Amino acid sequence: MTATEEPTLYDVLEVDPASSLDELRAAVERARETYGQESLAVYALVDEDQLEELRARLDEAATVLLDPARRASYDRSIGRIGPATLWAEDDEEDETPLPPVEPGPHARAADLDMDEEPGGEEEPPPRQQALALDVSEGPGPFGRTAELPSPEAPPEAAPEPEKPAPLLSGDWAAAVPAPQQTADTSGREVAPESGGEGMSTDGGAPPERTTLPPALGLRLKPAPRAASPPPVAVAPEEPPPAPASPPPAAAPELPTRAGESRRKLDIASDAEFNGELLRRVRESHGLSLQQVAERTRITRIHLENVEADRYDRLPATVYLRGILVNLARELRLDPARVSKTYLLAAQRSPARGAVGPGRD
Amino acid sequence: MKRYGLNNVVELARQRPRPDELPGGRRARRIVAVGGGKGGIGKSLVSANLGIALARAGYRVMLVDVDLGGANLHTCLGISQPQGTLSDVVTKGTRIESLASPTGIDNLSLVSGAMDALDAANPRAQARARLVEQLQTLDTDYLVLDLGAGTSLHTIDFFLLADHGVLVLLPEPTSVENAYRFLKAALFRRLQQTAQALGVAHLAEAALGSQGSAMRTPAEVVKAVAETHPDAAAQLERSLRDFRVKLVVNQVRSGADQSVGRAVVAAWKKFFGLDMDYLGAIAYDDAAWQTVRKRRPLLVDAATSAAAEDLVTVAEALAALDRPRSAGR
Repeated sequence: MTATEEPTLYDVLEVDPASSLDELRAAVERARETYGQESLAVYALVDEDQLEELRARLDEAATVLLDPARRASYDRSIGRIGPATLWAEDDEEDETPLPPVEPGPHARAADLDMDEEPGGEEEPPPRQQALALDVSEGPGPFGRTAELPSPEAPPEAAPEPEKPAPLLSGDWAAAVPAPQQTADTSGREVAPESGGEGMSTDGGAPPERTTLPPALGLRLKPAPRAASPPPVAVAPEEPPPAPASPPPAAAPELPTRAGESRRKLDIASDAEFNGELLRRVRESHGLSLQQVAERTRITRIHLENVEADRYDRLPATVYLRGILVNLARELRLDPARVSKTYLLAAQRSPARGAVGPGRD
Repeated sequence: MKRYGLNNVVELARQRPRPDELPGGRRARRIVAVGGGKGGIGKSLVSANLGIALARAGYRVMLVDVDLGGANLHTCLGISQPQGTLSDVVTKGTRIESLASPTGIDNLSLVSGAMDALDAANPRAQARARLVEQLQTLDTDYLVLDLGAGTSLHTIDFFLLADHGVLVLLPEPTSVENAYRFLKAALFRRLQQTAQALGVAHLAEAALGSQGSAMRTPAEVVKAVAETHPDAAAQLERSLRDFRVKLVVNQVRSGADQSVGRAVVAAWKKFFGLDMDYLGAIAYDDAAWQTVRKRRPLLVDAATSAAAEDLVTVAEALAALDRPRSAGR
């Protein structure tokens, strides 16, 4: 791989994309030994940020590649049809992903858990739950996770929008001003049909799969019904130059409904993703912020800030990248592309001059 | 990252033509430098016993103690400090060959590096260059340099001068930390030297310096240079790929320690994009320190101990690197 290409999750794990599940498990274990919190081999080798970024990527690789269904969809997203695709349907039940390895004692994820739920400190999210939600993004094998785990995500209960910013600790706390969340629950309270979408524990395909055209790559297939025209031009027939330049701060707070989705949304392969575009893609999937938050376990506040391009409120790049990757996956976008272009725009913004999370 | 001045004496010397192969499938004159950044990790023990193992395998070996301020390789070998030392090369113009003392082991001689004159531990560039030039031309199969602790310029330069830079580390955080510091210092000196020799030092400097405290990977620097100087970038890349360190993990106790070597190789590759050869682990062994106490080489006094066997394995792995492929196992 060259320095310029975005490495795939297989590259990150240093495995052949055709590897069997067992080989992948072995690779995850090896990577945990090499790059985990306990590993001597990375002590003082590079900046902690670089290490955290790698661990986030490795967690992501473990989460995605050890789950045959997710692996299959990831393979499609990188233009690869492999064995994983073939197993995906049959083996989903028995090929349970490895439970995330217990995080190291200093793992931030563990700290987060403790803040929230004094009972189950370093318990990784239970296996069934991970399967059911199809988002086993809890503390991964490397003892950290790119986004906030919400270990007790209620299986079906209606979203609790007013829940005080959960799980925040460490540098996260600084990144997310608390007032933000109440402010935003107003305009975009969507929480529609999905409220009772019963995330059953039978490991069935996650609901959104049924509503989406199969085999999505980067491009979203148009659905028949055209929606009420949003204020931003969506899907002109001529290939437009990538929808670029984020409309600054005051991102349009349109009360878009999940119901009115299914509109055609063409995304150029060289699109540059900003909050606006991500929001449109999300809406085109008929997903509310709350739904995305539940599925990806990215907190709603982060999602809102991402969509509003509030760079100064977003967490440090390492974490932001994880958020973007997960969001992109949920939206059937190319994770590499999304994170790359979004981060680029964020870095250009004066609001994000400093590397770390700034308060304002 | 500590910045070093640009001094390419060593770089120029390094670009000498490769020595020809000797009849019998051997290659002449390999320079092995044993370093590791931290003191007390067994550099001298490894050097001495590596030398013994290679000598027993039939190679002519010269050990040179270049821990100029704290030379004690002679103690590891159980001989008294030789009369002449490297300081004579610097001050009197003595030839290194004439300083070599026998060690009691066939094929193995020792040059002491003790330098007692004030400031002699940090010879000036000119003196260093003279030393380096002589070391390059010694008539022996293996020249084993026992480096001092730390990341001083002359230590780094000796390491870069070698065909095989052997990095010794212990499976403990302090040692690992110093080993990486040493490795990074050496890598970036190599990078700067090569960039300067290629006339693109300013580009490499800019690429190195543009990211604040975080370190640029070699690939990033090469890429930056390639934007305007593709040829130089290609050579730079080759020179960096040449920076292929040989790793020895010393004082290994637990099973977990066993995996440290491989993990270091993997992590170095992951973050710096460079290969490292793992020569092996040496068991933590009471015999090792007992022999040091007795001032007797491990391979002589406790040849059947676990540590001694490991050292022989390491020496074999090293020698295997130099064997022409056709004659390889």
